[in-house]
Amino acid sequence: MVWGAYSLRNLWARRVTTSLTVAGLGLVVFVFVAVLMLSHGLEQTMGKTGDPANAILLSKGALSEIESRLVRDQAKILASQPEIVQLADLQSAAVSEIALQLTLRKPAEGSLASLSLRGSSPVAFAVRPKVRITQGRAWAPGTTEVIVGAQVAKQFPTARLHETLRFGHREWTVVGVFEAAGSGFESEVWGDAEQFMATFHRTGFSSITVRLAYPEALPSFKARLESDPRFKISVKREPEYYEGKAEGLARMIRVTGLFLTVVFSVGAILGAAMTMSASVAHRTTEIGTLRTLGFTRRNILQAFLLESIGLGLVGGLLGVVGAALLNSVTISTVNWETGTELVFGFQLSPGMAGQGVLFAVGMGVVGGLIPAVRAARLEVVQALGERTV
Amino acid sequence: MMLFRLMLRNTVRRPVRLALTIGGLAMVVLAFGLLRLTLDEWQRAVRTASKDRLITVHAMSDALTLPVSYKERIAVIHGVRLVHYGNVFGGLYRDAKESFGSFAENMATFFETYPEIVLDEDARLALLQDRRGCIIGNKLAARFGWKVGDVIPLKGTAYPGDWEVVVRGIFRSTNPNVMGNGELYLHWAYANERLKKEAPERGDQVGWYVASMVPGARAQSVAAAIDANFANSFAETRTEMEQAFIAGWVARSGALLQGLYWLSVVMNGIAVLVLINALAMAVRERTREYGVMKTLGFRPRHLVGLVLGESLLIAVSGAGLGLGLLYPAAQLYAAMVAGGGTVSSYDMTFETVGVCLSMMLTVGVCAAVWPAIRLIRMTTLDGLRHRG
Repeated sequence: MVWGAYSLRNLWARRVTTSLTVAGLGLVVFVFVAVLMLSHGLEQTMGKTGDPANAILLSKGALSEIESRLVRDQAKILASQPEIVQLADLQSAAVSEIALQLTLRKPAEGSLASLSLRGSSPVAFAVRPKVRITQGRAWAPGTTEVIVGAQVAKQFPTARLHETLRFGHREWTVVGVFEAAGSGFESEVWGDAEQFMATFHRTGFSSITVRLAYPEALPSFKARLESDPRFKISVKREPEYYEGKAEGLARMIRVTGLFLTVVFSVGAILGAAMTMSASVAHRTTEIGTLRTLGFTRRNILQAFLLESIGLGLVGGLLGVVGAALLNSVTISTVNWETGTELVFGFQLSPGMAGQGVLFAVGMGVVGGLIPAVRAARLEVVQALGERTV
Repeated sequence: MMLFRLMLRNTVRRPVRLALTIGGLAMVVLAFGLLRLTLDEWQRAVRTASKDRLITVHAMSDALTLPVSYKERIAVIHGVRLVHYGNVFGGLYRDAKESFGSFAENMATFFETYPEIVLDEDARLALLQDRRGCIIGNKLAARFGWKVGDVIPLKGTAYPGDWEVVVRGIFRSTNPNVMGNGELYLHWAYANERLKKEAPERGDQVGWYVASMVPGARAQSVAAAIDANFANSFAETRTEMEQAFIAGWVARSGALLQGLYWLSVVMNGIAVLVLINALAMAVRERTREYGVMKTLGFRPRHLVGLVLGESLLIAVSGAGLGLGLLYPAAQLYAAMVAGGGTVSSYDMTFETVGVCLSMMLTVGVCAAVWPAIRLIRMTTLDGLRHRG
């Protein structure tokens, strides 16, 4: 334990250099953790969108709901498949929906934004039990009432409860706000499918989402429908579909994060190595003295390594604390793959905090290793004789 | 002159530390440069977009289409010289992950509307004569090794079905921020004809109109005239200058760009820390020498010059090394983020080089301030007494 105290005292003795190195390491860890948090937040938002028990049916070849077209009479047959859960009122848990994109002007900034519209029916709530109306009520079928996701209500002041949206020569009253466990649905506006179809001059649906009685029935369900020549559709598990929708965005965040982290950690390791080698050079005589007193080479190595681990640990903690401040920040950006607005946030998990600190300690060890080995290998006589100026 | 030699000697006195510092700074410049390239690309797209072209899209949604019959009604508006139209073709090649942009354009007006596209006269004629023909950007050609005459199989999304198009020319764009070098353009008429057979209700639709204005026409009033023409129709339009249109899209990614911007600011901070650290160590080690120099009659400004010079020298070396690494790193980065909806070239520009260099000069000056102040405040006696 004497060694721990010695190392820490050394760090304290050169406060300025130490704190500069710690700050540098801290910033590196901050960026590292922030990027992890962002990509985790995006994955959470997209991954939570959809239910593993649900399947989404799109026209063959369509990459997204917006491109997909399903004809009405197909929709009826598809909704009456035996694998689908039957609801109490003899309806099956299948919702035919139309996905659209609406270009709106944000009044505050005057800039354009794209909203996701989902023309749906009340069955949607049975198919997606996680969706919960928190304010107001659901839209009445056949009217121009809409409900908005919690994130939309936050981002667009003109789309709050009791406000009116104007598009397609009609007025749409917001009668409710819903939450969907932080998923991408919260960035959408839901309303009556028939009304949206009339407004956007569309004759068919975009997709059908069905709730399966047994999630494991999906492969056979998929195989049967996809090979049926009547339909020309593709079937996907709902969460997989939505995750795929943010792949480009997720890849950019991940790749950028990876790049920055690799580049940065090399820089931080060099910084730690610099501090430690200066520290060794500074204390050559001191090391010689310690060796004369009977401390072994191993003791010296440990002392210096401990010192650089200390640097890494403090830097890592600082970085994680800084990143934790971002925890509730949300980002609203356009998702290139769908052309619509998506809101997601920085999310810190204990695992990430651990990774950040470990990463910092790792940088400290790698950076401190060579100087520590050099210190340990010093010959006593040479060390004592060396002038340190 | 002697001062300069002293400075140089000081700088290289501890080669290991110097190498570590320069290496560390180079890493920061590399990361900073990558972010700047990304930001630059977005901003340059806005800046270099044409002010003479107007883009008309569906007012309600960018994803909706307009009837092709609008062309004649736009063409007669005062101030409009030429009307071009096109649509997203959205072809998939082999796998969705290897995707590239593909667009169906009215080839009769394409080249006149976009003088940015540089293509041989022969290739242009060959394209116009072949309804199944297409032209591809030189980067796309290089990516898949395609040559003129190759047949490219595509799976249509916006235009469903299996398609085969023949490469009739490979073009180069003089402004890759507006017309990319990694895209494919085919005949709208060809795509539309088949769509009309298979899904009649979706035929004869275009994604956008591009109106080139006669010289001297006022963009605002022409745009207003176009929109007024279709007001209260079943498909209202939104017309903007090409520049404003692109700026609108960039603004929608605003939060992400803002994030990148702040990251690059943080990086400046890291660079300053690395450099201050190195200088602080060097100055502390040499305190006694500086004391001696003061005794010999060197003025504080000489000492400040020494520290500042050393700082700038290290900073510029770091910048040089970092910029040297930036080019291959940017190519690698571009290859890794490729796909999705983004079209990025990540080519080095003078701007990026300039921004990186001036950032490092600023860092060099900032880092020297604190050690220099310490030297100015230090009395000769303190300096001589200092024990390293």
